[in-house]
Amino acid sequence: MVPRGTDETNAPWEDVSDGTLVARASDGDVGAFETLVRRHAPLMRAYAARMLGSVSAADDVVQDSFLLAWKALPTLHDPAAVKAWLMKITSRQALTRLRGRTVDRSLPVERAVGPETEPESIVIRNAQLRALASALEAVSEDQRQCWLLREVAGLSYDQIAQELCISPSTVRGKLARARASIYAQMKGWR
Amino acid sequence: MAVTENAPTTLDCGKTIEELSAYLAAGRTPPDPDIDRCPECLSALDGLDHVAQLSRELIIRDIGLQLAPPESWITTIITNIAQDVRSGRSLPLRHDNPAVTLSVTEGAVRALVWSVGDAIDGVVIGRCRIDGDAETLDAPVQVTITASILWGRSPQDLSELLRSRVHEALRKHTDLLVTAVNIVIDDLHKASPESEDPA
Amino acid sequence: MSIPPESSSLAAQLLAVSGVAEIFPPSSPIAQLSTLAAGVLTRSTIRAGLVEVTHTPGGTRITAKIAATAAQPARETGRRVADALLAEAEPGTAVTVQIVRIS
Repeated sequence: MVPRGTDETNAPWEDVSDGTLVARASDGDVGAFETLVRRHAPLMRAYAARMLGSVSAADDVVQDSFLLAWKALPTLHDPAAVKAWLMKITSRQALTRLRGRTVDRSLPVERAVGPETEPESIVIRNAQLRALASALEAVSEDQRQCWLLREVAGLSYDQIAQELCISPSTVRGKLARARASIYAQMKGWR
Repeated sequence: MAVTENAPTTLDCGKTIEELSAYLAAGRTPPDPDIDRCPECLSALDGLDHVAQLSRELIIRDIGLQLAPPESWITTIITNIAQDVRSGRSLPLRHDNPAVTLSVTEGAVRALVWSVGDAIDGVVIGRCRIDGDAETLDAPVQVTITASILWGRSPQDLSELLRSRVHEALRKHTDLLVTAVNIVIDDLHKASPESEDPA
Repeated sequence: MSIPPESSSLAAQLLAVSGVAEIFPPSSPIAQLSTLAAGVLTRSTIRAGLVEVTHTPGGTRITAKIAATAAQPARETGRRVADALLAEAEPGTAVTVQIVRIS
């Protein structure tokens, strides 16, 4: 092990960019890596939760993703792009977990609670976001995956095609159907 | 909840929402005059655009609503990775007795260099490379360090300070023959209000 | 498996050497006994707690991994540790000291 002493570093990790954190973590600094974990875990967990339909499964997947990331970190060509790289790892881990298993999707139900003094625009916005979330849950599994890989993980059509073992034009088609379906549901045209 | 495989919504003009979605995703190119001149299509495109904007917000809202994981979740990750040895090469230290093999690990020297940088206000070291045959006593080596410095500070001053302190630390603790310490400032950072507070 | 008193006392002595902050276990602490077809012991490594003592037909090897304090030159601390081990060991013993941390 790289032994850690009782005198922890006083480096201002939170201020430092992803690129420098990755450089330091690639060389073995656990403190730098921990900062990367805290910084990017929220997005990865939220994304994995929508992919898997479960918060606890998401936490497992994201944990595994970070362990893989540590080992592979020296191979990352563009340290500043670590966020997209982590999302790609999370995507693969989530898809592996989903493959060939019937998953019970059980995301926490969102309720329309907010302070009574909330401006109407916020209330409306939240209602629309809840409608979007419901619509997303209602589309087919493969359409939802394409949508999440594109909209949240930011993968290209080619990258999505690779992850799902389908052609890029099939990806385009599924995305269009997913978006159309979501739109239709939100407009109440079911 | 019904699983909606295909949205059967066709507009009166004959275009499907699916077609319009693909058109929007392609950035409305190549331009399709049938769509661009049809009020119903344009209205649907606006709606689709609105949903696309909402989509960007969805995950942000999810993050705001999610419960933080227990601290043990983070600790498990850290404990696991700390098992992974990144000690690198063995850098020899001098001893008169031939029965003795004395060395310091490259990992220890790197951590030493990091601590030199951490001790300088406004400097955070990124990569630290030791180039040369460091496993051989008296072989010349060069040390190359990248660093992020605090916005507003002088790169020349901080470089010089870092260089001299690193030279000093390597001279004090190792038997490396360091012919050069190269400092590359490749990043900037700003102090956040929290980090400006004295501990 | 009990730790031989020899290596326990070695560890204690090393911790008393000026500049030593900590001693770490050797990286491969598993005790191995290997035999030739004739059943003769060729090598035995006793898991010696923090200081590893290995006996081979060619001689004995003592190995220690330490953390050195930054207050003193680590290379001098390393030399002091090697000298301390040499002082306790029989003539002909090979001594290996590795510094894995300076803090």
